[in-house]
Amino acid sequence: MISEEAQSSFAHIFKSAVTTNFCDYYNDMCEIDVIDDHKEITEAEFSVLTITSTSFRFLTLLHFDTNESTIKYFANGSIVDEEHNENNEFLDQILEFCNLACGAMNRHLNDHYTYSGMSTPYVLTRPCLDFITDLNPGYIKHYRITINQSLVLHATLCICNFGNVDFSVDKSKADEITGELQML
Amino acid sequence: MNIFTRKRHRNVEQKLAAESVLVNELEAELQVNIDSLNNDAIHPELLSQELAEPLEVENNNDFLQQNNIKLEQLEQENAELIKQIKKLSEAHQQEITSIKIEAETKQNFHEQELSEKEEQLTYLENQLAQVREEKEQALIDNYQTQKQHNAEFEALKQSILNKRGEFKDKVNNLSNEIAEITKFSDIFERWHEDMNSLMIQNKAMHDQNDRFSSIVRTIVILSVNAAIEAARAGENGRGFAVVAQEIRHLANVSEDLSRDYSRNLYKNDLITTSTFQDIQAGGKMITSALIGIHVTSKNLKNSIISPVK
Repeated sequence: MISEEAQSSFAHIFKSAVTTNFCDYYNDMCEIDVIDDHKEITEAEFSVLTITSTSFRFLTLLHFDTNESTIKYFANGSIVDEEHNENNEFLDQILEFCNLACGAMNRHLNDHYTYSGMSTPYVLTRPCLDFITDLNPGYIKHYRITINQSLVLHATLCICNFGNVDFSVDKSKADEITGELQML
Repeated sequence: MNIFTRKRHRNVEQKLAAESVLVNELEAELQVNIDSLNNDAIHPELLSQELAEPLEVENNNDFLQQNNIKLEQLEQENAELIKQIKKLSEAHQQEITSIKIEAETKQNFHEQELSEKEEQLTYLENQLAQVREEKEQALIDNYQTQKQHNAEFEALKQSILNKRGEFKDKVNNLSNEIAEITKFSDIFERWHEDMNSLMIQNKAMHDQNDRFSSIVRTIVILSVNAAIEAARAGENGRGFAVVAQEIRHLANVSEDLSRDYSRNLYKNDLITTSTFQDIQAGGKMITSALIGIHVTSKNLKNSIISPVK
């Protein structure tokens, strides 16, 4: 069972990580809203990354399209641009963003779970999302991320618990950007 | 006899000496009076001479009478002086006796006091001797205990050194084992690489299924065309129409199968990915914990190596 406080804490550390690592880095506006119907998620691909502890595994899915606006956003300030995307630099870039965000979430969780580990990200296609409930999650939530009121991405949090999960994060504490962007 | 008694005796002796001097002076004065009296007395020879000479009897009688009166006065004075001397002597004797009694009383008191003090002193000296003896015994005991403790400490130190050696070996072994176990992370990474192989395999199956699905759709179209051609052939094409219908039915079933297969492949993608990521993250978690234990064991090893103070 995942307590209400723990669910709220997972949502908080997710929003905090996204805001810090996706938006604050470039001083962009970022809105994060919960959506009820996952059919709204139409992006062709998503990156998935798992944080594991003895009590749970926590999957974070970031849905994205390889389209002009997305590439342009993630190319900002980096070596990636539309013309040089043949070698999947864009994909590496977006996976690195996911890595940073999940790393921030993992650090939050380390305050409550001494032992936890984080996987490397992997990319799957949209149809896989329809089977997320087959993982028997104790908590699942879909989010719409709107950046600068133009670029829309989606994210899914899926937590499979193996016992009681109950913790509370300090919601007044702000995240810190921990490092420069690095290519995988 | 203590100093106070001696001082008191000295005072009394001085006083007695002064009294003796006074008595001597009085006796000397008495002797002078007697001598004077003797000088003034009429010597018998002189008296005979005087009697032989022709003197006037009346003058001699007066002179004798005067001498007798003078002699009586002197005798009275002598008696008075002797009486005074006797009185003074008695008074002095009484005073000397009183002083002697007082001195003896005080001497007795002081001697008793001195005796008590000496007893107390003896008692205290005995006690001091006893305390000294006890102290010496305690020092001896303490020395022996300390000696025993030193021996025990040395034995314990040796035992600790031996145990430390054993413990150091064990920590070394543990540290080596942990270092070996830390290499298990390579296995988790290998499993994760296996996931990539599996996902590549899944992708190939996706492609194959897509091709199969495409073939099925073609068969459906062909079966429809066959049914149309069979209808054109009329009675002769009736059998062919049945075959075409059956092929279309099989194609529809195949299409459903292909769709299910595709869905299962996607489901398989998700489950495989989440499972292998769980393994990879779990491996990192275990490795991280092992590294922590490894560092702790190294610190422990270093603390054991440092010399015993």
